[in-house]
Amino acid sequence: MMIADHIREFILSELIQDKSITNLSNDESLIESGIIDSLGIQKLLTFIEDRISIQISDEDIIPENFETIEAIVSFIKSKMPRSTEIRQ
Amino acid sequence: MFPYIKMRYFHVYEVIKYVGFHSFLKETVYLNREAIPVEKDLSCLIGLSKHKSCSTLEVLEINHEILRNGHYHYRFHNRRQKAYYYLRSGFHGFGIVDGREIVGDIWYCDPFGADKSFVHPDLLWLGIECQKKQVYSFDMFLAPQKRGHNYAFYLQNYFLHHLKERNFSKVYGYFWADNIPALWVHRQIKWKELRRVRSHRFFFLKIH
Repeated sequence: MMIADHIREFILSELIQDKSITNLSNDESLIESGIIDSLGIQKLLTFIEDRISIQISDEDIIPENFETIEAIVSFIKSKMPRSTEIRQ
Repeated sequence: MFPYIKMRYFHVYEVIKYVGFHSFLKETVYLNREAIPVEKDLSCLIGLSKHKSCSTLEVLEINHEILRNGHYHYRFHNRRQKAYYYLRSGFHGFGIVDGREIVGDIWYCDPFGADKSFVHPDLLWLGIECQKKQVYSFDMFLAPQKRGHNYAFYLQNYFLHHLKERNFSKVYGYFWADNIPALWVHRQIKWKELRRVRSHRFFFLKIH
């Protein structure tokens, strides 16, 4: 499973309250649509830090890094050592 | 003095009852906690769109009449006590209302206002100096049950637009660097971050 799929699965199951939404494209805005709000960002950060051994500092928590699934993946990759794996 | 003690009593009681003792300790005992003072130029605000999750909400200015006439009520007793205390101190506030219930609020003081509000003690330790037409915003609160629906963003953005309508030019405030929800709302609204300040606290004893 790719990082994007893990993130998508988490967002669909934990952050989206409207359960009729079953898919999200990589470039769909998560902030404008209200999917990632102040509580959502906290849950997402906990998920990322739990699954991938990366340290996220408060300077990293900017809307540009979490605007879309694509942006989240590229942010995670920029913080990951090459050997890091995603825990299931 | 008595209203202050009463307000503090209800605050401690309700935080422990609804959020838990651990959260109460986290807020009242800390060492080297980092605060991020911020400023917002009101000439560059982001649009005031209402997300669909906020469609049933209204924002209104809190005053003595609203609190007394019983049309709106606070979900939490300590917030009601705080509202009275802040109004008596010359501060101004806005509440976010769901039906007839005030589920969140945000406050500001205008050191140069006609009502001569107290100089807020935060200004000293944060190193903020308000000029004319500049205000300090503080103590934004949202009921725990209402968090996570973009309400905080909506309340803060509405609040800033309202201050602009009142011809204020700049707003100051702060959030804790470890308070991710607050940090997120401020960064979404694009507040400018100023030099960070470290703070220590042991219950009611604060050292900055």
